[in-house]
Amino acid sequence: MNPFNSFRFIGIGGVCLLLASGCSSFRTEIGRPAGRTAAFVEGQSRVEAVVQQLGPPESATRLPEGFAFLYEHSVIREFQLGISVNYSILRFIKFIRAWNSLDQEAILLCFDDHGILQKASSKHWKERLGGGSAAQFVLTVMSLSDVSRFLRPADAHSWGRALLEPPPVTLNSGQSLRSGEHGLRQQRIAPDYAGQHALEMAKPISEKERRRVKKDYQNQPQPPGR
Amino acid sequence: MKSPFFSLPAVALATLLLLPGLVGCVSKSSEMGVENSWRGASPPVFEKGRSTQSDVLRSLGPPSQVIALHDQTLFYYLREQSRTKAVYLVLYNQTRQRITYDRAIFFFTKQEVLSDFAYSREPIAGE
Repeated sequence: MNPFNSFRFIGIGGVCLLLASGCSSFRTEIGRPAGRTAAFVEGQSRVEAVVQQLGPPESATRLPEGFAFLYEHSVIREFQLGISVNYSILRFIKFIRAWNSLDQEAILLCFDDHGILQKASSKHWKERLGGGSAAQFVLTVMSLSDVSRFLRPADAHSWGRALLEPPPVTLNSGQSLRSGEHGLRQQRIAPDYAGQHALEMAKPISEKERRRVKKDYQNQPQPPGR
Repeated sequence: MKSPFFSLPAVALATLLLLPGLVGCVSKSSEMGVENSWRGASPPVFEKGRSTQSDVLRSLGPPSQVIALHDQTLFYYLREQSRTKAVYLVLYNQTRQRITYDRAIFFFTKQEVLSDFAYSREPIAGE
């Protein structure tokens, strides 16, 4: 090959590489697929069979006529296509376009006081979580997804702490959907600032706080003895 | 005469040589919740109809949540683990986060006798 062509080949390849810089893929999976629920028969299946097959639920609650289990599985995906231009100071900046999606599965099982399955409902769906565009430093890798709603610790961790929250939250603990005695809390994707939670007068968190949620979640202090 | 492509291959080559120095990877994990003693080297053994609330509390400690059902009491133990693995190659970056819950659930009768229990099928390694 002509040396000039070799240089040209390398040059064009290099330009392509530089233009395509900064593609990123993010995937966050919460929980595990619950498995098949078709084997359960309303009015016949017992709670023992359910927990043996599906394991303990994501959350459980008492109901006026029995109790209920909620199982959830979430997969959040984000793909970012990034390009940069090898010109002047622009070579240090990448321009990205991001697409986000959610793959969600939820199963609700209601039992009577004797542990007999009364109602079973499940759904598996996919939806877009939105997207975005950004200009970032070429070495920055940052998700544009708002996953703060998904990355909150499970409610069971804060069960005993509910009485130490600010007064509106503490006073609401007698009816709280997170205590497991007054109904199931809503799914992770549902907003926190509507319905029964409105009594807690919590303010929607800011964009800065949303970013901190993910950071804090990943830096949880280890419990004693671990 | 100097080739107009001279600088371009040089830049591309320099970039290719620099790239290996820019790559990186991350692996981190965090855990929270109660200690999952039911995954330990010698896990406690419970028997339906015989074990009591005291046996479970003595073996596993305080639960994450206690739920009073109408005729039963439910003890719910939860340990949560987040594991993140990421590869940064500048040209392509990939981040994978997996959040796993290790749960144990115990049902007790009004007489505080264990009527049923179950563990998650997806364990987090215990101590």
